[in-house]
Amino acid sequence: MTRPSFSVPLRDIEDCFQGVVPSMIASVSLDGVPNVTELSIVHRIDDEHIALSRQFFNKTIANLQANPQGQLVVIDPQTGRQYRLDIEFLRTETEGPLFGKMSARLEAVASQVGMSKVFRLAAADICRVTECQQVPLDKDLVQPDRPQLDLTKADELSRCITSAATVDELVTNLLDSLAALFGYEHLFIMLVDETGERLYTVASRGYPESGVGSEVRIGDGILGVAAERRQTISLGNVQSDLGYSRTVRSRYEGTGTAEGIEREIELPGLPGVFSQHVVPIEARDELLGLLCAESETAGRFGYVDNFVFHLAAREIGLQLVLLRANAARLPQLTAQISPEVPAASAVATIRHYTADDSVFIDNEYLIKGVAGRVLWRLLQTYQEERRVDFTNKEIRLDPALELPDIKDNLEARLALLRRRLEDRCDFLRIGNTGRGRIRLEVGRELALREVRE
Amino acid sequence: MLVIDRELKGFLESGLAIALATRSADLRPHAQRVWGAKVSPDGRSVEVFVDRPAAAQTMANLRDNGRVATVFVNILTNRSVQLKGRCVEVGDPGPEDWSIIDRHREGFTGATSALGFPAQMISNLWSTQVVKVRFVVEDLFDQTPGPGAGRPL
Repeated sequence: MTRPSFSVPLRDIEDCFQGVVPSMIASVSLDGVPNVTELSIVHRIDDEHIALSRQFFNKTIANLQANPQGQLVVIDPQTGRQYRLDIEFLRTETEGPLFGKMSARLEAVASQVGMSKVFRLAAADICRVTECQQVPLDKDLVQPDRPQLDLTKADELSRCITSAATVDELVTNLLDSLAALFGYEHLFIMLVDETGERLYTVASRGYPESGVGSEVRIGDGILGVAAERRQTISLGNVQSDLGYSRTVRSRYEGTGTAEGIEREIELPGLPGVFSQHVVPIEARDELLGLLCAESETAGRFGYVDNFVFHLAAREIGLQLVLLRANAARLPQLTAQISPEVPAASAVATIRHYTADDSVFIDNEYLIKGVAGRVLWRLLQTYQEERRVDFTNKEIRLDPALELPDIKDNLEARLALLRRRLEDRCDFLRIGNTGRGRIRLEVGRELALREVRE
Repeated sequence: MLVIDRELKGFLESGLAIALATRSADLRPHAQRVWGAKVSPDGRSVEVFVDRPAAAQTMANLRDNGRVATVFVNILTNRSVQLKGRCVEVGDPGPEDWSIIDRHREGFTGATSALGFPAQMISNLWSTQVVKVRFVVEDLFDQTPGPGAGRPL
């Protein structure tokens, strides 16, 4: 198939199809009345086809069905250049991969404002593009000062990921490399928990508070829907997208048809976020987590950034699987007794609630669940034997911990535990001392209290 | 005859995102961006300003049949209204018109900045020259997203 001979090839203006700046679409009825409306996103399918995301614009589709000629004006969010696309309506789709991809984006935003059961994609209207031209302007454009992405750095990124020997190193390397090589300011990684129903933040970079340990239910909100649908969700105009859904919500509430509307979910991550890019981390068809990037600038992530995130997510997925496989073959315990006596400061009281394995340090909540149970076991062993060195394998096999079904996730839980301690506690640390080994560092005398149900 | 009331006039003349559509004799639609609107004192017609370098086809269509549709969107609240009508006059903007256009662009830049867009990118959207288009309003539609979108006002 030869490429269509448009004045401007569609693939050259890919950033216009990311849903950052609303487009406009004009159509004409058979009796000659024009119609114009805004639409939040135009999807590029290939070099000569686009899809319109249809929620409400009934007159437009009625016109296109009767008179298939339409015209779109799209905007490049980086430069402000405008392009006119002459289009010809071909057909409507209400299922299939393209519809799935388009509906996931809408559903993610709708879910964030409690509208997932009410506000859904009605259809994807597929059109052939017959011409694409830049809209003439009588002045030189002021170019943005944003640096261009250098894709040769992808190799370096890949090396940083594949050289990681532990999950902790992996997530740290990934976030550090993405920030250093590509300048992404705000990043976090979430992993699927043992139940397969929730995601928890295992590492973050560029936030006033790390947010490590915070959770999201799969299916809830932008992050939860991205995970559930295994779709990349790229929002270049988060506040505008949320505002649109809120307007729809208030219109439904105003008509008294509020059935199915749920409460709005607080947006995790950056306050005042304008761009959000969420990519599922998968390996062998299994969802492992999410890689999320955020920015305080609208339209921060273009389609080239999308390649970087996809590359990173794919590599981290494979590396996670490899590390798990290696963890199962790691050496047995070599016990070591603590050579150090804790500093002579006040005794720290550590409580463990057996109901949910939550651990409190001096009445401050630290962590719960599997990570809480592991920490408690380490602290108990430390108190009884003054031992500080442990292997992941002995933790995994420890009958008291009853962890058989979570063995795949142990390393990620230890990484989470390490980060929570760094965030919340100044006298307990878990350090790596080699492949599959950890060392507990205790800086105060401890008093352990178990609280049973 | 349809008359735009005070409240709607106030809305249309604030710093909104505005687009204009016309059509050719063979029913091909044509769209372009609009900078600023002014409702006539009797509320029956509206003047809008379109970028001149991008207006060749719009002008040809207006000469051919004069049919016009314009959509006005408040990008912060999503309130959206479409006006349909017939063009009755095309001309150059006067000094008073330029103050409307400048005020409009300033308001629009403020709204887009609240949504995180750099002012520099937004100012790249407009040309330095515009054409004034006056049309008589024949129909009004509520286009705010949600149930009821598209209903006549």
